[in-house]
Amino acid sequence: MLTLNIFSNSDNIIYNKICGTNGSRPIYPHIFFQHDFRECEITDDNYYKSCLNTRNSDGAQCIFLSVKNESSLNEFLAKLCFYTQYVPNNYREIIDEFAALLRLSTAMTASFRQIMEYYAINNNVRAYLDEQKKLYALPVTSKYEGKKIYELIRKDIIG
Amino acid sequence: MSSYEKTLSAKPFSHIYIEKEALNYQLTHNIIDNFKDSVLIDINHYKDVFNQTHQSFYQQKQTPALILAVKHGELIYPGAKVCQSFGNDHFYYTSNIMNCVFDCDYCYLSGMYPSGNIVIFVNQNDIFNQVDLLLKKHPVYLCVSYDTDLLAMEKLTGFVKSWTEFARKRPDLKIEIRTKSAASDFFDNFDSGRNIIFAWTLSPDEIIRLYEHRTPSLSQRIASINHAIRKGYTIRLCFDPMIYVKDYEKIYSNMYKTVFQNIDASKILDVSLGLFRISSSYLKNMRKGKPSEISAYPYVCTDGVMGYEKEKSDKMLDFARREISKYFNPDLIFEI
Repeated sequence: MLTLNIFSNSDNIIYNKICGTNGSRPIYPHIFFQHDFRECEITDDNYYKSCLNTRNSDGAQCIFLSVKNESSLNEFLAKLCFYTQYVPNNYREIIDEFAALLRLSTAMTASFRQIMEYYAINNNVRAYLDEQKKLYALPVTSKYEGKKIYELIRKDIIG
Repeated sequence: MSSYEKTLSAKPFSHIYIEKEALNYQLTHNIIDNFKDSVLIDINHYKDVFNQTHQSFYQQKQTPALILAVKHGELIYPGAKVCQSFGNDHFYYTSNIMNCVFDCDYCYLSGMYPSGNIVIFVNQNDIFNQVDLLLKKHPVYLCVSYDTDLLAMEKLTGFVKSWTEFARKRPDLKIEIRTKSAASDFFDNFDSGRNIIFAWTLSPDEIIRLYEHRTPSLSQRIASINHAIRKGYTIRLCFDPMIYVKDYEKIYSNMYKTVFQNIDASKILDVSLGLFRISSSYLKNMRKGKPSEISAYPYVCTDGVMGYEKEKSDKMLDFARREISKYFNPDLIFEI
């Protein structure tokens, strides 16, 4: 997550080092994008506290900038919004539902989750599990049958 | 990263953080001279930047900043149990640089470090002094390019040159410089030494394309190895880490064949062979940071080390050993 802290100023500035006045460790935002702003450091307790609080409460990366007008800001934001963040696919629920259809134990369900997370990197988990449901006519009637199907799926995915 | 993102991304080393103490070293100024357009930011200690919380290793890896620092305290460490000692009794490693210009999905650095920025320690003489102290006690086998690729950074730092000059005068010191680099001109300019081992990590092109981003191709690495051989350097081949993919038998056997058709096996000191393995805590961080086919694989944990399940490990290692032995003396294949 990236948090922008924007202030009004007579110049366009990005702060690459934010210091408090009490000698605490400065904060160095990672400036991972190209920009036309001037860069400099700032020593200001309010800025520093604000940056520290945002980071500690939200776990966010902070960018502090001062802009001279709205159009400078819009231009900056237009560039920045093209950056994408990795968003993990949340398949946990359907994987657990499938594990329940196989009547897997808690330990085997955990192993099954990891196998499916591996599969999910380049594949569609939902489509795959739907296919398996039909193939094996789930739910199973016994734990033994579930374990056998688990082994077949495991072999199919990781060899 | 999309091409648009690439266009808008800051250039590598667009920001250089410099410890005040590092300014006392000529190397710091030599490095800075290479980056006239970079923003220079003074810092007290490299950890103030490198160890900040809530950093994105993977984002920083795409647009790394450079940190120039002076390292204090212990500079030489005992070799880790997941690393091959090649039969040497006194196995150590050291790091002039933290992090690497290459970007391999399986690299343990992404699980070990909180930051993808690159730290260069400019006080190489202090490392040399600690090596000399160790050499007073016993011979030393020292790996100097584990947590980075020193040869790939040579034009910027000159560390490989310094290491080779240092080692050449110390017969009880054996150093290994591990690399995936295709840099050849280094070998034109410096004399070889028998106690200086250049160790190339070799992978099939299929694995390089999938998982070893920004690294030279297999043929480029082979060309560099042959150049080093012609110049009389001691060479080790590292088929490590071997990565499981469904058709691994086909792609790895093709690679071994290509390697030994193009490199004279009699000129190779030894070979290392190992499967992907990683500390469970590093793997946890890798999975949290950016899941990939490598990190998401359902490994088995043995004594805190995650690796392929035993049946698969045995099969892969047997296969690799058998294949390499077709071309290379099996007594000189070191397995881990």
